[in-house]
Amino acid sequence: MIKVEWIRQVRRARTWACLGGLALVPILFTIASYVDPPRQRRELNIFTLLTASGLNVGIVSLYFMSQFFLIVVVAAFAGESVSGEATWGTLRYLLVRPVSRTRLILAKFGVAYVLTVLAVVVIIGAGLGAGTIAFGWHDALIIDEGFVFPIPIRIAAGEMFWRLLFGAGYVALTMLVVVAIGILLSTLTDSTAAAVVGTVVVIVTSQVLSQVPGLESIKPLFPTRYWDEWRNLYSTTGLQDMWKGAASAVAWSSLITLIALWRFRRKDILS
Amino acid sequence: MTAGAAVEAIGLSKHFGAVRAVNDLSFVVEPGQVCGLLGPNGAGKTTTVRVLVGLTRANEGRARLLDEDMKPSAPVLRRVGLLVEKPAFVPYLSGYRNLQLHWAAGGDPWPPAGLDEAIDLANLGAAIDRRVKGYSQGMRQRLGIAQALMHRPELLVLDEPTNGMDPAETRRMRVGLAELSSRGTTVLLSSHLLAEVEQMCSHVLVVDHGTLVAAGTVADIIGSSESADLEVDDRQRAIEVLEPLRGVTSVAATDRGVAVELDGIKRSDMVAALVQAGVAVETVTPRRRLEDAYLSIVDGEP
Repeated sequence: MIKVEWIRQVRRARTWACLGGLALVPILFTIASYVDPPRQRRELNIFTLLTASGLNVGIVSLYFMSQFFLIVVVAAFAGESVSGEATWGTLRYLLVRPVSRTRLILAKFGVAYVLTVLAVVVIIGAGLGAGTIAFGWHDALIIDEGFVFPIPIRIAAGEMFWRLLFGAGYVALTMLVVVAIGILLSTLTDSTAAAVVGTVVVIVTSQVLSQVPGLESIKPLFPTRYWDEWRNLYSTTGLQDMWKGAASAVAWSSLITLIALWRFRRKDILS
Repeated sequence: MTAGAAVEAIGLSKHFGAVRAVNDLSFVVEPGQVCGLLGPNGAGKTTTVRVLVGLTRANEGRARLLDEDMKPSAPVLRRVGLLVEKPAFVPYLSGYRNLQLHWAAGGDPWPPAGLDEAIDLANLGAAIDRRVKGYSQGMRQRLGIAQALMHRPELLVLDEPTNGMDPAETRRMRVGLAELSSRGTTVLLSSHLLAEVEQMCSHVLVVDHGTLVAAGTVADIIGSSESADLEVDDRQRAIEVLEPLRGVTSVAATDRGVAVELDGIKRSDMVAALVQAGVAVETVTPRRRLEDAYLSIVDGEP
């Protein structure tokens, strides 16, 4: 079943268009930064350090893309998985083969997640590749916020590369939640657009609520609460919240996937 | 429960909210039968098919296919070929690749036993390697039939199988299904085309408002009436000859000849009498067809 789903996805032009789009954005802002480098102002952030090394471009690519574009692409991969079959009418033919609905959903989850990991790799690869061509492979500059005023400090290229990979792994892990929500909504509607847009809306709502002052007691429960904690890899602050983020991602995605399985196993296939 | 039945519905009911799509439906299709499932739009035919193959859960009752209890993803589906409503494929893949993926989803080794003959029957030629999104409706329909047949199923469940096909394709399909039936394949065929059902089916089930309203052989459903339409060269003379004939209950003029109701006289004897009287008979057509029988069952038309 996994092979069937994999072939279905990789033979689809849309899959490659999504991955290509994710690669294009880091390349475009690398070109823009090369042509017109960001000036180092009083405000020190990861963008102003962009031109220090190809590794810095990798960091910025991951940060910038994981805020929205990656979420949209992952929502498209997962949200289409069941609803797309329903739209084409192929779902009923898939389910008249002796394949259990649980296996079908898990196969679709698995393939959507592999594509998600691939998407993160594409972002990192495009950022590092374009950045290294434009700015070279040097030690990276990160921000030390342990002083009254943040200051840039230098990290060896080798160490930074591993930090970047670790950060990418964390982002990929948090995307489990997007995949799970996409799969769940995909089992609830036969409209691919509704499943994809619904997934993005749920995630953005959670992100917005995470920023609202006054909800401190329930914020840790929001699935996106710890998503940006990977950025601590590029500063000198602690990493403890990343473990909370990893646990939150696994817990939320497991819960949502179980609901999707429960729902899909009982669903009347009318499409 | 009927031992050895190819398809068995036992008190099936399915409702969607307040709407009862299928209501305490029971029937049996024996092995080797070609059985038509008839009924007006909204009668519950498609819901019945969906419940039978496990796409939809019955609220009450149960279904059995090939002597096994049916539930979603049941192993017995390996022995069943299906065309449910209209055929559906992944549009950006070729016809052949679609067949491959459909088969692989069940975890069975490629190719299935009857692939070549199914592709022959579908008559898609080189188009089998083209993307499905460029197919006409008839081509999709034929690919759907190939998909249903490629593993030489013991039971075929077909919903409007000749939809979108031209007359030559329809004929080819009819011959193909007749051949399958002669080899012992059971066919449950849902169709609106009553002439098609009359030609292809040995048995008929008629459902209306989710309930079985008639079942039996096609001959039983049509009835044993020997009524006929005759094309003759001299209508007036034909009426004069037929009216006094014993066993002729009524004679009426039609556009091209006469319509005759018979009771106790064979059509051949009636024709002999006309020929003896010098009336040339061009054609003799049985008057009551499945369509008439169906309409009288469903609409109460005489």
